[in-house]
Amino acid sequence: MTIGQQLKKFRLLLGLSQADMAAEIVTASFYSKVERDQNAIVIDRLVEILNAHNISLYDFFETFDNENLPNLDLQRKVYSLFDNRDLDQLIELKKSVQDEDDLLYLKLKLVIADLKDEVHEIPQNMQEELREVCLKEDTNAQKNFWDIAISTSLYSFAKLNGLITYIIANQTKFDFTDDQMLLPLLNLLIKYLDRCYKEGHFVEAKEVGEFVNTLPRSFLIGFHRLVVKYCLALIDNNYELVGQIINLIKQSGFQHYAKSLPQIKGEAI
Amino acid sequence: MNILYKHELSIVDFLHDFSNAESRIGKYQDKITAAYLDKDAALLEEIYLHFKYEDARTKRLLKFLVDELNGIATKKQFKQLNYIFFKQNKWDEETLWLLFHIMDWYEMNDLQELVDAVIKRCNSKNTNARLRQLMIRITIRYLDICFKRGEKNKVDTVFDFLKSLPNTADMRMYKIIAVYYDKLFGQKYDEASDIANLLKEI
Repeated sequence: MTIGQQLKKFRLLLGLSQADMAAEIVTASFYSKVERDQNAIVIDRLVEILNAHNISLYDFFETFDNENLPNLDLQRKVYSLFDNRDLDQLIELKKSVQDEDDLLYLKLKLVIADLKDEVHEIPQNMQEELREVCLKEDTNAQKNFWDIAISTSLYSFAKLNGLITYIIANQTKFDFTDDQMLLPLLNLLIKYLDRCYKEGHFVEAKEVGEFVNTLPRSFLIGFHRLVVKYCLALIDNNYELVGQIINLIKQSGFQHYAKSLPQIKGEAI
Repeated sequence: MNILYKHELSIVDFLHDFSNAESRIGKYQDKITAAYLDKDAALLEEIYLHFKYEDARTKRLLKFLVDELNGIATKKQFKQLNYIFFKQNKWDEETLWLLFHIMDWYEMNDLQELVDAVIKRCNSKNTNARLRQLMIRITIRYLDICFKRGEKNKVDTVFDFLKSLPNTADMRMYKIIAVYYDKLFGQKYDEASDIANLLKEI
Protein backbone atom coordinates (compact mmCIF):
# COMPACT_ATOMS: atom_id res chain seq x y z
CA MET A 1 0.00 0.00 0.00
CA THR A 2 1.30 3.47 -0.85
CA ILE A 3 0.27 6.82 0.59
CA GLY A 4 -1.36 7.65 -2.76
CA GLN A 5 -3.40 4.45 -2.78
CA GLN A 6 -4.54 4.96 0.79
CA LEU A 7 -5.53 8.56 0.08
CA LYS A 8 -7.58 7.44 -2.92
CA LYS A 9 -9.30 4.77 -0.83
CA PHE A 10 -10.40 7.30 1.77
CA ARG A 11 -11.32 9.92 -0.83
CA LEU A 12 -13.66 7.47 -2.55
CA LEU A 13 -15.11 6.41 0.80
CA LEU A 14 -15.98 10.02 1.47
CA GLY A 15 -17.32 10.61 -2.04
CA LEU A 16 -14.96 13.50 -2.72
CA SER A 17 -13.30 14.80 -5.85
CA GLN A 18 -9.52 15.23 -5.86
CA ALA A 19 -9.94 18.99 -5.63
CA ASP A 20 -12.24 18.59 -2.60
CA MET A 21 -9.82 16.23 -0.94
CA ALA A 22 -6.92 18.65 -1.51
CA ALA A 23 -9.01 21.19 0.44
CA GLU A 24 -6.70 24.00 -0.75
CA ILE A 25 -4.03 22.61 1.56
CA VAL A 26 -2.16 21.56 -1.56
CA THR A 27 -3.14 22.31 -5.16
CA ALA A 28 -5.53 19.92 -6.87
CA SER A 29 -2.93 19.05 -9.49
CA PHE A 30 -0.29 18.31 -6.85
CA TYR A 31 -2.77 16.18 -4.96
CA SER A 32 -3.61 14.26 -8.12
CA LYS A 33 0.08 13.43 -8.57
CA VAL A 34 0.33 12.28 -4.95
CA GLU A 35 -2.57 9.91 -5.48
CA ARG A 36 -0.88 8.52 -8.55
CA ASP A 37 2.41 8.11 -6.59
CA GLN A 38 4.11 10.61 -8.86
CA ASN A 39 4.82 13.06 -6.05
CA ALA A 40 5.64 12.61 -2.38
CA ILE A 41 3.82 14.70 0.22
CA VAL A 42 5.31 16.02 3.45
CA ILE A 43 3.81 14.59 6.63
CA ASP A 44 2.41 17.84 8.00
CA ARG A 45 0.45 18.54 4.78
CA LEU A 46 -0.81 14.97 4.78
CA VAL A 47 -1.93 15.21 8.40
CA GLU A 48 -3.56 18.56 7.64
CA ILE A 49 -5.55 17.00 4.79
CA LEU A 50 -6.60 14.03 6.92
CA ASN A 51 -7.65 16.27 9.79
CA ALA A 52 -9.55 18.56 7.42
CA HIS A 53 -11.74 15.62 6.49
CA ASN A 54 -11.93 14.11 9.97
CA ILE A 55 -10.08 11.00 8.90
CA SER A 56 -8.62 9.18 11.86
CA LEU A 57 -4.83 8.98 11.65
CA TYR A 58 -5.09 5.54 13.21
CA ASP A 59 -7.39 4.38 10.39
CA PHE A 60 -5.12 5.86 7.76
CA PHE A 61 -1.70 4.76 9.00
CA GLU A 62 -2.42 1.46 10.74
CA THR A 63 -1.95 -0.49 7.53
CA PHE A 64 1.57 0.93 7.09
CA ASP A 65 2.56 -0.10 10.61
CA ASN A 66 1.28 -3.60 9.94
CA GLU A 67 3.28 -3.86 6.73
CA ASN A 68 6.53 -2.39 8.01
CA LEU A 69 6.85 -3.49 11.61
CA PRO A 70 6.92 -7.28 11.69
CA ASN A 71 7.97 -7.26 15.37
CA LEU A 72 4.99 -5.16 16.25
CA ASP A 73 2.85 -7.68 14.45
CA LEU A 74 4.55 -10.53 16.34
CA GLN A 75 4.04 -8.77 19.66
CA ARG A 76 0.36 -8.29 18.88
CA LYS A 77 0.13 -12.02 18.08
CA VAL A 78 1.64 -12.87 21.46
CA TYR A 79 -0.86 -10.68 23.26
CA SER A 80 -3.75 -12.00 21.19
CA LEU A 81 -2.82 -15.63 21.85
CA PHE A 82 -2.43 -14.80 25.53
CA ASP A 83 -5.85 -13.14 25.45
CA ASN A 84 -7.21 -16.43 24.10
CA ARG A 85 -5.05 -18.56 26.48
CA ASP A 86 -4.03 -20.58 23.43
CA LEU A 87 -1.07 -22.54 24.76
CA ASP A 88 -0.59 -24.69 21.66
CA GLN A 89 -0.37 -21.70 19.32
CA LEU A 90 1.97 -19.88 21.70
CA ILE A 91 4.33 -22.84 21.74
CA GLU A 92 4.27 -22.94 17.94
CA LEU A 93 4.96 -19.21 17.79
CA LYS A 94 7.94 -19.55 20.14
CA LYS A 95 9.50 -22.09 17.78
CA SER A 96 9.39 -19.50 15.00
CA VAL A 97 11.18 -16.74 16.97
CA GLN A 98 14.87 -16.80 15.98
CA ASP A 99 16.49 -14.52 18.54
CA GLU A 100 16.37 -16.10 21.99
CA ASP A 101 17.86 -12.95 23.55
CA ASP A 102 15.09 -10.85 22.20
CA LEU A 103 12.74 -9.38 24.76
CA LEU A 104 9.78 -10.72 22.87
CA TYR A 105 11.13 -14.26 23.22
CA LEU A 106 11.39 -13.75 26.98
CA LYS A 107 7.81 -12.56 27.12
CA LEU A 108 6.71 -15.59 25.13
CA LYS A 109 8.53 -17.87 27.57
CA LEU A 110 6.80 -16.12 30.45
CA VAL A 111 3.33 -16.41 28.94
CA ILE A 112 3.80 -20.10 28.21
CA ALA A 113 5.19 -20.76 31.69
CA ASP A 114 2.26 -18.89 33.20
CA LEU A 115 -0.30 -20.99 31.32
CA LYS A 116 1.50 -24.17 32.36
CA ASP A 117 1.78 -22.92 35.94
CA GLU A 118 5.58 -23.18 35.73
CA VAL A 119 6.68 -19.57 36.30
CA HIS A 120 8.72 -20.69 39.33
CA GLU A 121 10.97 -22.59 36.89
CA ILE A 122 12.05 -19.37 35.14
CA PRO A 123 15.53 -18.38 36.40
CA GLN A 124 15.48 -15.58 38.98
CA ASN A 125 17.58 -13.19 36.91
CA MET A 126 15.20 -13.61 34.00
CA GLN A 127 12.21 -13.03 36.28
CA GLU A 128 13.86 -9.83 37.51
CA GLU A 129 14.52 -8.66 33.97
CA LEU A 130 10.91 -9.29 33.02
CA ARG A 131 9.61 -7.47 36.10
CA GLU A 132 11.68 -4.40 35.19
CA VAL A 133 10.49 -4.44 31.61
CA CYS A 134 6.84 -5.21 32.19
CA LEU A 135 6.00 -2.97 35.13
CA LYS A 136 6.89 0.71 34.96
CA GLU A 137 7.42 2.73 38.16
CA ASP A 138 4.99 5.32 36.92
CA THR A 139 1.72 3.58 36.07
CA ASN A 140 0.67 6.55 33.93
CA ALA A 141 3.68 5.88 31.71
CA GLN A 142 2.50 2.35 31.05
CA LYS A 143 1.49 2.40 27.38
CA ASN A 144 -0.98 -0.32 27.87
CA PHE A 145 -1.59 -3.07 30.37
CA TRP A 146 -0.59 -6.04 28.27
CA ASP A 147 2.86 -6.36 29.79
CA ILE A 148 1.50 -6.25 33.31
CA ALA A 149 -1.27 -8.70 32.40
CA ILE A 150 1.16 -11.30 31.10
CA SER A 151 3.45 -10.93 34.09
CA THR A 152 1.05 -10.92 37.07
CA SER A 153 2.50 -14.20 38.33
CA LEU A 154 5.83 -12.43 38.93
CA TYR A 155 4.47 -10.02 41.54
CA SER A 156 3.38 -10.32 45.12
CA PHE A 157 -0.34 -9.94 45.74
CA ALA A 158 0.35 -6.71 47.64
CA LYS A 159 2.09 -5.24 44.61
CA LEU A 160 -0.73 -6.25 42.29
CA ASN A 161 -3.34 -4.99 44.69
CA GLY A 162 -1.55 -1.63 44.89
CA LEU A 163 -1.57 -1.37 41.13
CA ILE A 164 -5.23 -2.34 40.70
CA THR A 165 -6.26 0.02 43.48
CA TYR A 166 -4.33 2.81 41.78
CA ILE A 167 -5.98 2.13 38.41
CA ILE A 168 -9.47 2.11 39.93
CA ALA A 169 -8.83 5.27 41.95
CA ASN A 170 -7.35 7.10 38.95
CA GLN A 171 -9.51 5.74 36.16
CA THR A 172 -10.06 9.18 34.67
CA LYS A 173 -6.38 9.25 33.75
CA PHE A 174 -6.87 6.30 31.41
CA ASP A 175 -8.93 6.22 28.25
CA PHE A 176 -11.17 3.21 28.76
CA THR A 177 -13.19 4.03 25.66
CA ASP A 178 -10.12 2.94 23.71
CA ASP A 179 -10.34 -0.78 22.92
CA GLN A 180 -6.53 -0.96 22.90
CA MET A 181 -6.66 -0.02 26.58
CA LEU A 182 -9.78 -1.96 27.53
CA LEU A 183 -8.71 -5.37 26.28
CA PRO A 184 -5.42 -5.62 28.17
CA LEU A 185 -7.07 -4.09 31.24
CA LEU A 186 -9.66 -6.86 31.33
CA ASN A 187 -6.93 -9.45 30.92
CA LEU A 188 -5.08 -7.92 33.86
CA LEU A 189 -8.23 -7.89 35.98
CA ILE A 190 -9.00 -11.53 35.16
CA LYS A 191 -5.48 -12.59 36.16
CA TYR A 192 -5.85 -10.54 39.34
CA LEU A 193 -9.20 -12.18 40.14
CA ASP A 194 -7.52 -15.56 39.68
CA ARG A 195 -5.02 -14.58 42.39
CA CYS A 196 -7.80 -13.19 44.59
CA TYR A 197 -9.67 -16.49 44.44
CA LYS A 198 -6.65 -18.71 45.01
CA GLU A 199 -5.23 -16.58 47.83
CA GLY A 200 -8.54 -15.81 49.55
CA HIS A 201 -8.82 -12.05 48.87
CA PHE A 202 -12.56 -11.94 48.34
CA VAL A 203 -13.21 -8.31 49.30
CA GLU A 204 -10.66 -7.13 46.76
CA ALA A 205 -12.27 -9.38 44.12
CA LYS A 206 -15.68 -7.83 44.67
CA GLU A 207 -14.22 -4.33 44.29
CA VAL A 208 -12.93 -5.39 40.89
CA GLY A 209 -16.37 -6.73 40.01
CA GLU A 210 -17.93 -3.36 40.82
CA PHE A 211 -15.27 -1.56 38.81
CA VAL A 212 -15.85 -3.80 35.75
CA ASN A 213 -19.55 -2.88 35.87
CA THR A 214 -18.59 0.78 35.34
CA LEU A 215 -16.56 0.09 32.20
CA PRO A 216 -17.98 0.78 28.71
CA ARG A 217 -20.21 -1.99 27.36
CA SER A 218 -17.99 -2.84 24.43
CA PHE A 219 -18.66 -6.01 22.40
CA LEU A 220 -14.91 -6.54 22.41
CA ILE A 221 -14.88 -7.32 26.14
CA GLY A 222 -18.15 -9.24 26.31
CA PHE A 223 -16.30 -12.52 26.74
CA HIS A 224 -14.06 -11.04 29.41
CA ARG A 225 -17.06 -9.79 31.36
CA LEU A 226 -18.38 -13.35 31.27
CA VAL A 227 -15.09 -14.60 32.69
CA VAL A 228 -15.17 -11.95 35.43
CA LYS A 229 -18.69 -13.15 36.25
CA TYR A 230 -17.31 -16.69 36.44
CA CYS A 231 -14.58 -15.71 38.88
CA LEU A 232 -17.01 -13.83 41.11
CA ALA A 233 -19.44 -16.77 41.00
CA LEU A 234 -16.61 -19.01 42.24
CA ILE A 235 -15.96 -16.65 45.11
CA ASP A 236 -19.68 -16.53 45.96
CA ASN A 237 -19.88 -20.34 45.81
CA ASN A 238 -22.56 -19.98 43.14
CA TYR A 239 -21.70 -23.30 41.55
CA GLU A 240 -24.76 -23.38 39.32
CA LEU A 241 -23.63 -20.16 37.63
CA VAL A 242 -20.04 -21.43 37.54
CA GLY A 243 -21.23 -24.55 35.71
CA GLN A 244 -23.38 -22.57 33.26
CA ILE A 245 -20.55 -20.27 32.27
CA ILE A 246 -17.86 -22.93 31.94
CA ASN A 247 -20.21 -25.13 29.86
CA LEU A 248 -20.99 -22.22 27.56
CA ILE A 249 -17.32 -21.45 27.05
CA LYS A 250 -16.62 -25.11 26.26
CA GLN A 251 -19.63 -25.49 23.93
CA SER A 252 -18.42 -22.46 21.99
CA GLY A 253 -15.19 -24.32 21.23
CA PHE A 254 -12.92 -22.66 23.77
CA GLN A 255 -12.03 -25.60 25.97
CA HIS A 256 -8.42 -24.37 26.07
CA TYR A 257 -9.60 -21.13 27.66
CA ALA A 258 -11.80 -23.00 30.11
CA LYS A 259 -8.77 -25.04 31.24
CA SER A 260 -6.89 -21.85 32.14
CA LEU A 261 -9.58 -20.64 34.52
CA PRO A 262 -9.48 -21.15 38.30
CA GLN A 263 -11.53 -24.15 39.28
CA ILE A 264 -13.82 -25.04 42.13
CA LYS A 265 -11.34 -26.11 44.78
CA GLY A 266 -10.97 -29.85 44.67
CA GLU A 267 -12.45 -30.26 41.19
CA ALA A 268 -10.91 -30.43 37.68
CA ILE A 269 -12.48 -28.71 34.67
CA MET B 1 7.92 7.10 7.83
CA ASN B 2 11.11 5.39 6.69
CA ILE B 3 13.06 6.94 9.55
CA LEU B 4 10.52 5.73 12.09
CA TYR B 5 10.39 2.25 10.65
CA LYS B 6 14.17 2.02 10.57
CA HIS B 7 14.01 2.43 14.36
CA GLU B 8 11.01 0.11 14.67
CA LEU B 9 8.74 2.92 15.78
CA SER B 10 5.06 2.94 15.02
CA ILE B 11 3.85 5.90 12.97
CA VAL B 12 0.42 5.54 14.55
CA ASP B 13 1.97 6.05 18.01
CA PHE B 14 4.12 8.90 16.71
CA LEU B 15 1.13 10.79 15.32
CA HIS B 16 -1.16 10.04 18.26
CA ASP B 17 -1.34 13.66 19.45
CA PHE B 18 -1.71 15.16 15.98
CA SER B 19 -5.12 13.77 15.19
CA ASN B 20 -8.30 15.72 15.60
CA ALA B 21 -10.61 12.92 14.45
CA GLU B 22 -12.46 11.68 17.46
CA SER B 23 -13.17 8.20 16.44
CA ARG B 24 -12.24 5.53 13.95
CA ILE B 25 -14.69 4.95 11.15
CA GLY B 26 -15.34 1.41 12.42
CA LYS B 27 -16.08 2.70 15.93
CA TYR B 28 -18.38 5.37 14.48
CA GLN B 29 -20.28 2.69 12.61
CA ASP B 30 -20.44 0.55 15.75
CA LYS B 31 -21.92 3.49 17.63
CA ILE B 32 -24.71 3.75 15.06
CA THR B 33 -25.29 -0.01 15.13
CA ALA B 34 -25.43 -0.06 18.93
CA ALA B 35 -27.97 2.79 18.97
CA TYR B 36 -30.09 0.97 16.38
CA LEU B 37 -30.01 -2.35 18.25
CA ASP B 38 -30.88 -0.51 21.47
CA LYS B 39 -33.80 1.06 19.56
CA ASP B 40 -32.50 4.48 20.59
CA ALA B 41 -34.13 6.70 17.98
CA ALA B 42 -33.13 9.87 19.84
CA LEU B 43 -29.44 8.98 19.79
CA LEU B 44 -29.61 8.01 16.11
CA GLU B 45 -31.28 11.32 15.33
CA GLU B 46 -28.50 13.14 17.18
CA ILE B 47 -25.86 11.23 15.22
CA TYR B 48 -27.71 12.07 12.00
CA LEU B 49 -27.83 15.78 12.81
CA HIS B 50 -24.12 15.91 13.68
CA PHE B 51 -22.93 13.50 11.00
CA LYS B 52 -19.32 14.42 10.16
CA TYR B 53 -18.57 12.21 7.21
CA GLU B 54 -19.69 13.05 3.71
CA ASP B 55 -20.87 9.59 2.77
CA ALA B 56 -24.35 10.02 1.28
CA ARG B 57 -25.22 6.35 1.75
CA THR B 58 -24.62 6.41 5.48
CA LYS B 59 -26.58 9.62 5.91
CA ARG B 60 -29.48 8.09 4.02
CA LEU B 61 -29.31 4.97 6.13
CA LEU B 62 -29.33 7.01 9.33
CA LYS B 63 -32.50 8.79 8.20
CA PHE B 64 -34.06 5.44 7.34
CA LEU B 65 -33.18 3.92 10.70
CA VAL B 66 -34.61 6.90 12.58
CA ASP B 67 -37.81 6.59 10.54
CA GLU B 68 -37.91 2.83 11.11
CA LEU B 69 -37.62 3.18 14.87
CA ASN B 70 -40.31 5.84 14.75
CA GLY B 71 -42.52 3.47 12.77
CA ILE B 72 -42.71 5.59 9.63
CA ALA B 73 -40.11 4.01 7.32
CA THR B 74 -41.51 2.87 3.98
CA LYS B 75 -40.86 0.05 1.53
CA LYS B 76 -40.00 2.76 -1.03
CA GLN B 77 -37.23 4.09 1.23
CA PHE B 78 -35.90 0.54 1.63
CA LYS B 79 -35.92 -0.06 -2.15
CA GLN B 80 -34.07 3.22 -2.74
CA LEU B 81 -31.46 2.28 -0.14
CA ASN B 82 -31.13 -1.21 -1.61
CA TYR B 83 -30.53 0.28 -5.05
CA ILE B 84 -27.99 2.81 -3.78
CA PHE B 85 -26.06 0.24 -1.76
CA PHE B 86 -25.77 -2.36 -4.44
CA LYS B 87 -25.54 -0.35 -7.67
CA GLN B 88 -21.76 -0.32 -7.35
CA ASN B 89 -21.80 -4.10 -6.98
CA LYS B 90 -19.02 -3.95 -4.41
CA TRP B 91 -18.85 -6.08 -1.28
CA ASP B 92 -16.88 -3.53 0.66
CA GLU B 93 -17.07 -2.66 4.37
CA GLU B 94 -19.56 0.13 3.84
CA THR B 95 -21.95 -2.07 1.85
CA LEU B 96 -21.84 -4.91 4.36
CA TRP B 97 -22.29 -2.58 7.27
CA LEU B 98 -25.25 -0.94 5.58
CA LEU B 99 -26.77 -4.31 4.65
CA PHE B 100 -26.80 -5.43 8.30
CA HIS B 101 -29.30 -2.71 9.16
CA ILE B 102 -31.83 -3.35 6.40
CA MET B 103 -31.90 -7.16 6.44
CA ASP B 104 -35.30 -7.29 8.09
CA TRP B 105 -36.91 -5.70 5.02
CA TYR B 106 -35.95 -8.43 2.58
CA GLU B 107 -38.19 -11.27 1.46
CA MET B 108 -36.90 -14.58 2.78
CA ASN B 109 -35.59 -15.98 -0.52
CA ASP B 110 -33.72 -12.78 -1.38
CA LEU B 111 -32.27 -12.67 2.11
CA GLN B 112 -31.12 -16.27 1.95
CA GLU B 113 -29.40 -15.61 -1.38
CA LEU B 114 -27.67 -12.54 0.02
CA VAL B 115 -26.45 -14.40 3.07
CA ASP B 116 -25.18 -17.32 0.97
CA ALA B 117 -23.22 -14.80 -1.10
CA VAL B 118 -21.84 -13.20 2.08
CA ILE B 119 -20.66 -16.57 3.38
CA LYS B 120 -18.91 -17.33 0.08
CA ARG B 121 -17.13 -13.96 0.26
CA CYS B 122 -16.14 -14.54 3.87
CA ASN B 123 -14.44 -17.77 2.92
CA SER B 124 -12.44 -16.12 0.15
CA LYS B 125 -8.91 -14.82 0.67
CA ASN B 126 -9.65 -11.16 -0.03
CA THR B 127 -11.11 -10.28 3.34
CA ASN B 128 -9.69 -8.33 6.26
CA ALA B 129 -10.66 -8.54 9.93
CA ARG B 130 -13.28 -5.79 9.73
CA LEU B 131 -14.91 -7.32 6.64
CA ARG B 132 -15.04 -10.71 8.31
CA GLN B 133 -16.55 -9.20 11.43
CA LEU B 134 -19.29 -7.50 9.41
CA MET B 135 -20.04 -10.68 7.49
CA ILE B 136 -20.35 -12.71 10.67
CA ARG B 137 -22.71 -10.15 12.16
CA ILE B 138 -24.88 -10.47 9.07
CA THR B 139 -25.07 -14.25 9.44
CA ILE B 140 -26.03 -13.95 13.10
CA ARG B 141 -28.71 -11.38 12.33
CA TYR B 142 -29.97 -13.79 9.67
CA LEU B 143 -30.41 -16.50 12.33
CA ASP B 144 -32.41 -14.07 14.42
CA ILE B 145 -34.66 -13.15 11.49
CA CYS B 146 -35.16 -16.82 10.53
CA PHE B 147 -36.16 -17.68 14.08
CA LYS B 148 -38.63 -14.80 14.31
CA ARG B 149 -40.15 -15.71 10.93
CA GLY B 150 -40.30 -19.41 11.79
CA GLU B 151 -37.93 -20.30 8.95
CA LYS B 152 -36.13 -23.15 10.66
CA ASN B 153 -35.11 -24.98 7.48
CA LYS B 154 -32.95 -22.21 6.05
CA VAL B 155 -30.24 -22.05 8.69
CA ASP B 156 -28.01 -25.12 8.24
CA THR B 157 -25.47 -23.40 6.00
CA VAL B 158 -25.13 -20.55 8.46
CA PHE B 159 -24.62 -22.85 11.42
CA ASP B 160 -21.99 -24.82 9.50
CA PHE B 161 -20.27 -21.55 8.65
CA LEU B 162 -20.29 -20.30 12.25
CA LYS B 163 -19.00 -23.62 13.58
CA SER B 164 -16.17 -23.51 11.05
CA LEU B 165 -14.90 -20.17 12.32
CA PRO B 166 -11.50 -20.46 13.99
CA ASN B 167 -11.34 -20.58 17.80
CA THR B 168 -9.53 -17.27 18.03
CA ALA B 169 -10.09 -14.43 20.48
CA ASP B 170 -12.01 -12.25 18.02
CA MET B 171 -14.51 -15.05 17.32
CA ARG B 172 -15.44 -15.84 20.91
CA MET B 173 -18.58 -13.78 21.32
CA TYR B 174 -19.87 -14.77 17.88
CA LYS B 175 -19.45 -18.44 18.69
CA ILE B 176 -21.18 -18.00 22.02
CA ILE B 177 -24.10 -16.29 20.30
CA ALA B 178 -24.16 -19.14 17.75
CA VAL B 179 -24.54 -21.61 20.64
CA TYR B 180 -27.52 -19.56 21.85
CA TYR B 181 -29.27 -19.77 18.47
CA ASP B 182 -28.38 -23.44 18.21
CA LYS B 183 -30.29 -24.04 21.45
CA LEU B 184 -33.22 -21.96 20.18
CA PHE B 185 -33.53 -23.81 16.89
CA GLY B 186 -33.05 -27.10 18.76
CA GLN B 187 -36.00 -26.10 20.98
CA LYS B 188 -33.83 -26.21 24.11
CA TYR B 189 -35.53 -23.08 25.34
CA ASP B 190 -34.44 -23.32 28.98
CA GLU B 191 -30.79 -23.56 28.04
CA ALA B 192 -31.23 -20.73 25.53
CA SER B 193 -32.86 -18.64 28.21
CA ASP B 194 -29.95 -19.26 30.60
CA ILE B 195 -27.51 -18.09 27.93
CA ALA B 196 -29.65 -15.05 27.13
CA ASN B 197 -29.65 -14.08 30.82
CA LEU B 198 -25.87 -14.41 30.97
CA LEU B 199 -25.41 -12.31 27.83
CA LYS B 200 -27.90 -9.67 28.90
CA GLU B 201 -25.90 -8.87 32.00
CA ILE B 202 -22.62 -8.49 30.19
